[in-house]
Amino acid sequence: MLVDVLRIGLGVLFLVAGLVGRRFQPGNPIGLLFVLAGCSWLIDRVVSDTSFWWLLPQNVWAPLLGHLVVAFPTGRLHTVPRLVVVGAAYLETAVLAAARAWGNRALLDTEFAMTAVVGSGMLVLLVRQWMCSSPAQRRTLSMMVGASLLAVGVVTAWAPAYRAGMQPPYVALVLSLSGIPLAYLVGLLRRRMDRGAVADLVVRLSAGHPRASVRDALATTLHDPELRVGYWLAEQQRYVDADGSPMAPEPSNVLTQVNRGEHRVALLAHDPVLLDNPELVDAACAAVALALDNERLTAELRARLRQLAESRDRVLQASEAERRRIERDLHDGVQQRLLSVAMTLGLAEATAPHQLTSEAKAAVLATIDELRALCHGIHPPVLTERGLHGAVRELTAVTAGVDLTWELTDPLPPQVETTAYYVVAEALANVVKHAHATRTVVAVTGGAGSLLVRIEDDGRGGVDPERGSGLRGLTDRVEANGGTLRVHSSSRGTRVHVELPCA
Amino acid sequence: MRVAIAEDSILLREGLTRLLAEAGFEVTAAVEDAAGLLDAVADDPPDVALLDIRLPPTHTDEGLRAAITLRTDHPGIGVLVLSQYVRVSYVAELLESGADGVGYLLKDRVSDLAEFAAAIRRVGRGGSAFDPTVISQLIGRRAHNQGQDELTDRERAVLALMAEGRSNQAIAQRLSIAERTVEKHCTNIFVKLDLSASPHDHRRVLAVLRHLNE
Repeated sequence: MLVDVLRIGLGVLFLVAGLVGRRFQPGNPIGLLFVLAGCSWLIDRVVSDTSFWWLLPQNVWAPLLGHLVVAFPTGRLHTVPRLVVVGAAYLETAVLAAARAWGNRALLDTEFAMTAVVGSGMLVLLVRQWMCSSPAQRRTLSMMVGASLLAVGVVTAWAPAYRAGMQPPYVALVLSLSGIPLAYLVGLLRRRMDRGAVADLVVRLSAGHPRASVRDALATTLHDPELRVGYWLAEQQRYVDADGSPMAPEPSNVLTQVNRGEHRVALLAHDPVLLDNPELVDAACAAVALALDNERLTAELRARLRQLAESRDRVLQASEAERRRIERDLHDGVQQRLLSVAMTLGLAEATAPHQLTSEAKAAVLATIDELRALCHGIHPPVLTERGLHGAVRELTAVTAGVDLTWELTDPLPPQVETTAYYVVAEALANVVKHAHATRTVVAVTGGAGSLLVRIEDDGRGGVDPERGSGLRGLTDRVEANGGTLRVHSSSRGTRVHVELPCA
Repeated sequence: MRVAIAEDSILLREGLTRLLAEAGFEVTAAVEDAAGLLDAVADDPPDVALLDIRLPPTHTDEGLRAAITLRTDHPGIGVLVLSQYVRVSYVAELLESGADGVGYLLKDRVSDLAEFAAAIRRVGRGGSAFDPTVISQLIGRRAHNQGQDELTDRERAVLALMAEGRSNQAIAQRLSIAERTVEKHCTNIFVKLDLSASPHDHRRVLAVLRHLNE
């Protein structure tokens, strides 16, 4: 009696699961498979005809359930192994129905082997699907896969157990099968609840959380920890992440655009499993559109800052290269030519002395001198000849009482060398002009992708970086390179400390 | 006197060759880079090697490095470095192996044939020839320190010419004073600067330059 109630109850449960599924996911065949399985199960209990055309529908519930669990959650069998295994299950049922209808004992004896092959095929498919799924997919899959493993295992082992003379309680079969529709119904219920979580999302965002949390809040609500957000920059026609660097979604990601009214706000790169629950994604997108739009403005600003920094860097590099080139061109061209004129005039002066020759020679020499000063202003030639180390050594050699500490082995970018050179030159010029120092220390060291320059004297101090135009210009130069300049001046001396990034 | 030249500008190289021929020198080689000069010097050693600082292939300090190599490998050959710029720190490098037969002049000096020829001869004979610009930088630098101020203007002028590598006779000529007076100034300078070498010693240039360079 109890067994009959359970039997019919299970059939009804299949039907209910199918109908609920049809209601919430009309396009998904899973619901239909449940309904068919329910009908087949109920026919089996009420009809006891043994002709083939009755046996087939009575037994088809088993392959239908197998089909359903293998096709879960999309309801489609889009790989060959799945098609093969599910097809084999239907074929087995048809063959066994025929064997039973026409009393073919030999075929009936192979039932156990056939069921074992098909059942283990399904088990392998389920386990593989589980292994290959993302955390977000596992959330949907876990209960269904668990229930299916149990049911497929029990069904596969049922007939051989009987044949071996065991009497497994029928209740166990019914209960194990009922796990499948129950897991399905719980999953549907959870989707409804997820949509309710969007309300929490709105509350969480309105509480004014810091920047990173919009993404985190979305990731929590959509149950996709790897979710990424790209903000739309209309001017540049591209998406950037919160730091302003270009967004690069994974190839496996599905992209969902978030709009606010007419205009594009952001792009969500999320797990494909969310496609099964478009209502949730839509609701979440609608809820965060405003917050994302605000974030987008910040991201746009960051992207613009990044661009500015990059272009400033390129301009600095180009100007550095240009200055080097001009200095070299002047050295190799005009200067040499003027020198050869001076040489010729000197020769003329030696062989046929004349007042005008001497005047012309003096004028050429004065021009060469001016050109030399000009070249020095364009790009210090000693940097070209000797690099920063030699150039700083020269600076400390022409100033009295300077000790140089040099702890640097890695080569530096040209614009960093030039800036460091001007720092040392200007600071030493200040020491000579104003400090009345007896000892000065110049220390050039490096560490963690930056260059440190320190110039320290024991003079009378009184240096104000805001007043002297030299130090002001130096600060601009250092800051243009992304570095910092600090001056500490007291009656016991002055310390200029410069840090330049050289990545 | 025999001279080998390394200068990458063809204009200057040919000008120098002509100039030196005019001044009575024999030019044994006129090449465009340091490697060429080192080969030429090994093949046919001149009395003086004349070289530019910026030479191919990198146009940085090849000439200076070649000069230092020559001073070590061929101590008998005078080395005269020419450059568009003079650097105090390069003087120190050149002086590391003594002040005999070494010189460092601004290229501008080629416009005064007599002075230039005299400088080459001095270097060729084992003397020295340093550019007045370097010397004035060194002396100017020392002026910031104590002690230096005790020198009179005339003594300073003598010190500068002495540091350039000139003989007492040349200094006397330049300043239009008697050679005896120059000698007296030299002795005073050496006493005031507390230099141990004798003012008559041929190594006095080194002593003075080292003192200035300290």
